[in-house]
Amino acid sequence: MRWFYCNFSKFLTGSLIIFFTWQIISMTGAGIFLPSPAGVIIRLIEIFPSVLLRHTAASFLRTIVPVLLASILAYPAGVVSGLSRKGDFIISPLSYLLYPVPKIALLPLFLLLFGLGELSRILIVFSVIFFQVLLSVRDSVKSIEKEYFTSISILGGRFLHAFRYVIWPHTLPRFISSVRISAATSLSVLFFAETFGTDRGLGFFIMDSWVRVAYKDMASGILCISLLGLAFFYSLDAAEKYFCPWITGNNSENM
Amino acid sequence: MLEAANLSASYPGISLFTGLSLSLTRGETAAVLGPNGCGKSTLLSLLTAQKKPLAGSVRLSGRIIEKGDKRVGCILQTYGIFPWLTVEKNIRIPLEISGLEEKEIRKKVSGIMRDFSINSLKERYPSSLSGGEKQKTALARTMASDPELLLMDEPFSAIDALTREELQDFLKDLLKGKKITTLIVTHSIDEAVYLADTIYIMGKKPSEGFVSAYRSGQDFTDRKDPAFFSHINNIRLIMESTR
Repeated sequence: MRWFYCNFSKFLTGSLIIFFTWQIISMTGAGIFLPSPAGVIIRLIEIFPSVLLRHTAASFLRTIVPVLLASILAYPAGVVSGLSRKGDFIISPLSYLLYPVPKIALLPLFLLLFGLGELSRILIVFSVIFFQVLLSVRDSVKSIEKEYFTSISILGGRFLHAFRYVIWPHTLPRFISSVRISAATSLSVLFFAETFGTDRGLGFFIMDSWVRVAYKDMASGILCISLLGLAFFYSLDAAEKYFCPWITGNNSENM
Repeated sequence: MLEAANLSASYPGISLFTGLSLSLTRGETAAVLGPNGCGKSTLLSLLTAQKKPLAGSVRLSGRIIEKGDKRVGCILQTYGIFPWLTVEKNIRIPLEISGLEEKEIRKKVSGIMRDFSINSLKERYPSSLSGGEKQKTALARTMASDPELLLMDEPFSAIDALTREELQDFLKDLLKGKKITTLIVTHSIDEAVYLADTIYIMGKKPSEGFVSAYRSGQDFTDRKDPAFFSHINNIRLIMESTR
């Protein structure tokens, strides 16, 4: 509960700073394009149930599905790469070749290969998260001190015990952190991906509102993306707090 | 009874000892003293079967020690307790690995925590423990599986002097009560004299192996006993003569 209040007060402070700056800008000449925060929030409440909900839901699914898929596939690949020289011999060069490519540059290729449907959009977000998670998990596994494996071995443990007591808890914070970092990039890549061949998603809604010169709608869409990101970040913070209580700051004793 | 016979070990490009032998009777406490790099930690790796010897064998009660042998408990120099688990969960590990039932595990863990007077640390994470508390947790975890042989690598090296003496007394009482065969690798001559029945002294070069086996023949309870200092000096002389 204390964690919740602590984060809520941080959120409130951050929001007030943003809304204050936003209000100042909207009172200048830029106000034609950027309506005041109060006006945008009212518009958001008005159109959310009838219009924005379906666009938000579409964007949410296009983010959560690849996040889950990438995590499920990248985590074991990262563990194999971190533990086995042979695995690393294959996985690392592949990652180094593909990870630096700006994923947005792959969008036309994905659209050509997989069509204008959901698959290409899911795969583009997947590609953002996959390598980030894989490399973070690999590095985390490689940084495990040998004494922890020795301890488990001396206690009579096999590989599954080493995974349960050492690898999983050691890699979990880095894993969550990598998903957190890639979630923001995913949303920006998704925005572009939603401007092609779809009539659903926050990317489509924002660009469509821009073309219609409906600036309050456009700002409502941007606010929705921000809230979607916020929900991801706080969910990941809550997951870290719950699953990694030993990390300083997560332990209630240290708060 | 622990019997290590004609052990030889090497690392790539480096030959360590050859033909090293060691014999400990049931309940005996021995210490291995020696300078840095003489192969003390390698000896522990051989005794726990974490490293395979080039030649020779290690037997406990007549049976060869296998990797992960539940009859052997070992406390590493850095304690080896997991920072992501509470004290209680660390102690549960060997029991969970053994496949004991939950009811049995709880009973055993609470008994051990009571015996070691660490009940108040139950929910704490290792990062919030002192060196002495970490060492007690590591010892409790090792003793949870009731080992026949206890191996300790520099057990009290990172602990302040007064806590170290308290822990040495605690360990001495524990070993006496349980009659566990124990081998302690240490740099500290006074620790070796205070705790061990037999002190094996290793030469400066790993290839020299044990250069002497010293028996004080006394069970010290008072560190101010003049005989205690006399044994320390004797060992110091032996060690200096091997340099």
